[in-house]
Amino acid sequence: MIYAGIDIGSRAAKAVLLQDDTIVSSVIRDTGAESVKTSQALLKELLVGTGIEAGEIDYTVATGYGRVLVPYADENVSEISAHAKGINWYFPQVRTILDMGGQDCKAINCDGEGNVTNFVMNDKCAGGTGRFLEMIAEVLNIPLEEIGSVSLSSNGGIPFNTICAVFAKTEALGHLRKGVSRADILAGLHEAIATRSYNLLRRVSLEPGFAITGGISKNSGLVAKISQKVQMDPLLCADPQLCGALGAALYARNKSAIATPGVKMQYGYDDGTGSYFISIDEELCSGCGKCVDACPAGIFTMSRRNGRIVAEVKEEARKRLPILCPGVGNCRKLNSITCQAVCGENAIEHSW
Amino acid sequence: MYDHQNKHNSQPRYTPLKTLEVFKAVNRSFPHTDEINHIHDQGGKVFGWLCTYVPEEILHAAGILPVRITGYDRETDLDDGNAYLYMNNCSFSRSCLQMGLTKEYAFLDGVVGGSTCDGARRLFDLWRQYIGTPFHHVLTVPRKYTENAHSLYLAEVEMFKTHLEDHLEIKITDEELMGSIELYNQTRSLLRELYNHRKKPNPPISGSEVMEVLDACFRMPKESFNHHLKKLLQELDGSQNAYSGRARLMLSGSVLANPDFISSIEQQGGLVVADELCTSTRYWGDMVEVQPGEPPLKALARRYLNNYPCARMFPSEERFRRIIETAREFKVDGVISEIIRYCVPYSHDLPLLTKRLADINIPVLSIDLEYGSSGSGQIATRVQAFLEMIEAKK
Repeated sequence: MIYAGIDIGSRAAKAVLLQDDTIVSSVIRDTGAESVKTSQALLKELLVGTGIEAGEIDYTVATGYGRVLVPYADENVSEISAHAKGINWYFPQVRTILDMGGQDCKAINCDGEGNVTNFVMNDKCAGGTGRFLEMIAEVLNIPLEEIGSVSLSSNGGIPFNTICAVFAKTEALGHLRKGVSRADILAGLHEAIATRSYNLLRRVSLEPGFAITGGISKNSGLVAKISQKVQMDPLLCADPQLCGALGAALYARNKSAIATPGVKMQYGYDDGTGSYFISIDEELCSGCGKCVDACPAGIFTMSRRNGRIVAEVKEEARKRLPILCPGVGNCRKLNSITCQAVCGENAIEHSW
Repeated sequence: MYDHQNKHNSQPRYTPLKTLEVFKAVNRSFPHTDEINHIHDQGGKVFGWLCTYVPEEILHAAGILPVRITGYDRETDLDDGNAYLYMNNCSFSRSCLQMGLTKEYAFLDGVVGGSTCDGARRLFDLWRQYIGTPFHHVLTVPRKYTENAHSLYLAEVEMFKTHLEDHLEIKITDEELMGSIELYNQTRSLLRELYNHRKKPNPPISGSEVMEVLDACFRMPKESFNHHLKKLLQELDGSQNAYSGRARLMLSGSVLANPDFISSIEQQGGLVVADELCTSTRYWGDMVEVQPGEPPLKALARRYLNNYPCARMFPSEERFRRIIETAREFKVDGVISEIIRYCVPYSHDLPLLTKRLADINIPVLSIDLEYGSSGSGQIATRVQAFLEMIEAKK
């Protein structure tokens, strides 16, 4: 079975393709201004080189702040739950998560199954988040990827009184003019962000099994500062930025397992003249679509139900079944192929 | 095609409640409702009140229409409010002041408040200074339930009545007070009936709809409110509406009057079935019970001090006890605490309350918001994660 997790964050869009227990593909790109278009491009990119087509994905779950803007997703889940699920896949021992994203920061407690048990989130202000670091990197003219290592080269940071983006920028420029090294400025800012993150973590319970997720966890300088404060070495997964998308894909896997139908769908009605029902056993239906072509009256269509492609009777045909379909016995006399004959799974039955 | 939104978001077939329209119309036009305008045209008086510790019955018995002063039902610029009230006052008091300063409440013939919290007190000071309402009164409200506290508050209530009588040059008789108490008690028992519908596994009315009813309750004469609420209850008895959700939720906090905020929780699949707010249970909670031979004023004072308490009261235990009782009665799975930004009493009580609820396995989601807010994207994320957390626990 194939599952997709799509994480449309405020700064970056991430996607993970999961085939049973293996990550077969993953993508990270800028979210940009048009989330819907981004999510579509993201899916295309995700499938490149996998030999898998969009139609073959069994279930898709979206997450992140743009989670409702993914038109092809079956469902959405909050990024808080997604990160807990994602990290649990790598490290089941994790109980405390710090998720540091583009515009917000969350402290999460979870259980051994990756279910959230408590969480707090920063407020409206995006000070000290990914966007803040991007801005500082610009001011100091250092590539974003390098600010962490540059900060580590400092021997003593300059204390910063604020993580407000506006004030910090002014303060940083002031220090630059006084000739303070960029490493010391960065060390000071990282210290301020680490303090804020630590305070957020203290509002949940800081249990051992500590992980950092989200884009900022790629910043080695910040990770070092946070582990000093927390006094625990954080567990970092292969790509912590993908953790939310992976979590969403795992949700897709769970949901699809729960939603696997054992249902026999009945379409039709009964009236004074008899009962006219076509039933389709969705557990048996393989989604091959042969019945759609076989039926001379064209009453079938393929549709996505509970994460699977299965046959169903067209909406407009359901109230006119005996008019459109003579019943399978009569149909066999009139036509060389019938829906029942082509269905290798014997999933279709007629009541008349 | 399949629905790409969460399946949880879709509510089953649902017929809009016809009788709710009256209440919605009042809320849309407040403070300039037809009834308020009509009373003014007839030479009647309309007073504003500010806190659930103001005994409204006395105003009613004096032939006045009491309306509750609320702020804007949206998050808006509070330029004037911010100019007069320092930012550490709650956004409710600044929102009310803004409306007062922009002459939205210019029609009021009097204002009555309680010395319940600093936000309310400072708002009142400014109201007295800058908004030319002819009559002002602030009741001193004790923080304890002791005998001394009760006699102090009774004296305050008596003083308020005398002040009002002198101002209007009338006498309020015990018979008039008894009549008003009876009318208000009827409102309370009708609202209890409405809340009984919310105890059902699939209530016929949503939390945001109930908020419309409550808002109108502060803004209409009780006579016509009771009449329309009876009609609503009749409609509910025959209604096929049955709300379902991912979890049963209770709202806890101070003044919340915006139904859209509750809607934003319900759109995530939360079923809001109970509340503990200044604008809900804390307003209509207890009946006024007049003992035989007792002066009605004494019964009024007793009820208003002993009522479902504000977080300002001490000890906090009484409020917690009632919240736990409500949570159990309405079978809630989780509590959403809304704290109007910089509301001190409620934010200080929250850690204790969270602990008490955790002990009985009810999780609490704390949301800080500006008064009038209808719920931003980040609030939606929190609510969704909270619902997912509760679902995983089940």
